[in-house]
Amino acid sequence: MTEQLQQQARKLLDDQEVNLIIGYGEGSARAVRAVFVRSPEETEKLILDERCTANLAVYLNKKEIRALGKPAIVARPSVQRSIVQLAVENQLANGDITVIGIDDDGTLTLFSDLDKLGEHVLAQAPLRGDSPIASSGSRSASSEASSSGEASSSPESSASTESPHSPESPHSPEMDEERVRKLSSLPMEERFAFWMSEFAECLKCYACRAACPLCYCERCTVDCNQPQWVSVPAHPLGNLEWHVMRAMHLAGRCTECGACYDACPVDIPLHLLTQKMHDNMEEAFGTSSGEKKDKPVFPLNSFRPDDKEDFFR
Amino acid sequence: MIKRAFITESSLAGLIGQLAESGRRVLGPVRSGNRVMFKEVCSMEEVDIDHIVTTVSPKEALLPRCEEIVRWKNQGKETLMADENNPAVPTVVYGLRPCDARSVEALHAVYTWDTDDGFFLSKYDTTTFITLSCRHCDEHCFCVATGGGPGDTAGSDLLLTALEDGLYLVEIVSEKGQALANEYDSFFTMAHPGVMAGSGAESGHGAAANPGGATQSGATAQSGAEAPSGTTAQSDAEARHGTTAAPSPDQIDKESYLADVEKHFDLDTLRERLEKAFDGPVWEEQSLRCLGCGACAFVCPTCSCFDIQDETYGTTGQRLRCWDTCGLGQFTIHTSGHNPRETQAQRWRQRIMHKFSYGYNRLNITGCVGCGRCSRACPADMNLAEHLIDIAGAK
Ligand code: SF4
Ligand code: SF4
Ligand code: SF4
Ligand code: SF4
Repeated sequence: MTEQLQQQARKLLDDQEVNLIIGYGEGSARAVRAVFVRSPEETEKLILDERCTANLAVYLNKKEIRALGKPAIVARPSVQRSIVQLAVENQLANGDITVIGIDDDGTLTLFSDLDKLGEHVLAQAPLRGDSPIASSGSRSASSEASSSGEASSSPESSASTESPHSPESPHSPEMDEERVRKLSSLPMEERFAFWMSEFAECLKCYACRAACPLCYCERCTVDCNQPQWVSVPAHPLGNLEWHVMRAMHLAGRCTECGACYDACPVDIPLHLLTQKMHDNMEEAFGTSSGEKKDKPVFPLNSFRPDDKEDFFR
Repeated sequence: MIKRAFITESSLAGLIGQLAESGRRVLGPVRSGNRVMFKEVCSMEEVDIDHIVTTVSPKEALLPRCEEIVRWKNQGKETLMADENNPAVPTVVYGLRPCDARSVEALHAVYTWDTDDGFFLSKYDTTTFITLSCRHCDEHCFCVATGGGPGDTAGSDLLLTALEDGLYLVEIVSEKGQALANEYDSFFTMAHPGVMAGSGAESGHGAAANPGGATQSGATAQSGAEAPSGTTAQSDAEARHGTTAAPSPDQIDKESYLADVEKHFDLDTLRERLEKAFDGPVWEEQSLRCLGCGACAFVCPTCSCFDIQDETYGTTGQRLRCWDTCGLGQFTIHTSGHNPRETQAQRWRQRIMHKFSYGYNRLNITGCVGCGRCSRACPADMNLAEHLIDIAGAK
């Protein structure tokens, strides 16, 4: 898989089709990290294995990366979805990027036409259920490993699960879905108490925002202070406001990559909120994120004078 | 020399319980899932010991993530102000690491630089730090390179080192630590309780079963103290059989109980290189994958920047001090829209320079204690030690 990717990347750079490749490379210890390959020789740095789950689409919005020229991006299915959603939201146009699509079975396909990518994503598995990264992802794989036998009982191994972002982090689409199901079945008071206690840990660092490919606003509502819409301090009200606002702004747009949760230094499962919102939106409006539709609808962004609800008219 | 004593695990638990009962706020590491945070505790049972460092540093004891500076009330044409609603609560922080304790000195230097910060100082003056030295480290720890170490006493009031079989060596580092030891002196002992109980009678047992403290490292420590040249099995056995006297606290070889943290780089070389690196290409190269998310600063024990926020509710209001960080683009943006630190490369440079160059030149401190929290928290694998080695050259 890696070899084929490297060859493809080299060709794109050789042909001057793109100026850089956004992909995965070896990181510290067991981690992998984003690499930005700008010359054919550097393509050797690119790797592709089950650890490569981070959502690289977030870099497509970064000024510093855009300044480097036209990118090709290594896109596992979750990244493909984010790209399609960005295209649907007019944040990416044909010609802006080249997508090196990598499907679950390892098939590599090049897309320069984002409509084609949209069709490709639609033809793949639906957003949840049999999610790619779920079955092959390092997170689920190694959480199995760490629950087996003596390894997990030594102080060293339990210490290495310290970081919520280590590959051992227990988080997979199946587990997320299960957690959403469990939470949804709780009485409202308990659900509220759960979220308030989770939000109490929020530091208001906004790492969740920075890691989300779809949080691309130049000026986030929380950064506006004339007027101040959302309370900035990390106190209970400020934290509640932030999380409600974030979830609402991503409602029906979130592609469920989990990058926000992976970024959160204090392990708040905030991705479950956007996941639940996605279900609600699908139920109410029949829309799903990360899928190219003929006429994209943004139920929470659009206004029509003939709306059947009259409370906001 | 720092005064020493012993404390047993059960006495330590008793001490923590009594401290909580005394009306003090006792903060200790508490686990919930993947997260280990300093929380108010009543007993040792709530405390997690199975971690390298806590997820977020203990700096909140001195610098809460948001705290009130002043509140006001408009009455007719007058505005009444009150700034006494953020009083310090006498606090004991238990179970922080030597790197965390060292960071308190860095915070203190910043908050007493040109103005004494009353909110910080009142908390600093009433907080006692009971630190646990490190028997384990991970690939992100680099305390030694920043001038600290797994048994470093800087910033601690009491430093505990776990010996064996539930016995701790206590080092009384500061006056505050001495005061606490005096107040609760019945919990501390000068005699090695394990050897007293275990000598003779237990001598036939294996090392692991011997409450005389003769695990592998314990035996080494004893023979190190009693017979410097004797590292043979025979002298170990002698020590184990109690033929040598029970060691006094001063005879304990603390180092042998500590994690082995390598020195990743040379701090002086790093500083020298940073002096000339301001305009270099290194910042852009290093920071390309940085998301500018700020997680690194919010978990950091030494990051000291804050933002001031006013919250008004009708005719009353509150001014709050909140954590902030130079890693965020908004940190330096002017009202005009101009941003002197426009790119993440400039912000990354600021972070490194502030910690390793400016802070040293102005305050004679290193604004990083090598706890590695930033590297563990970073979603982009911006490994700080790796970047510093990159600049300073491996040591
Ligand atoms: S909200 Fe979280 S899970 Fe959803 S797209 Fe953004 S980063 Fe991914
Ligand atoms: S990343 Fe976590 S701590 Fe930071 S703002 Fe988001 S939820 Fe809060
Ligand atoms: S945590 Fe990592 S990605 Fe986030 S600002 Fe710090 S170095 Fe950058
Ligand atoms: S910069 Fe990183 S390693 Fe240094 S004190 Fe802060 S969190 Fe710890």
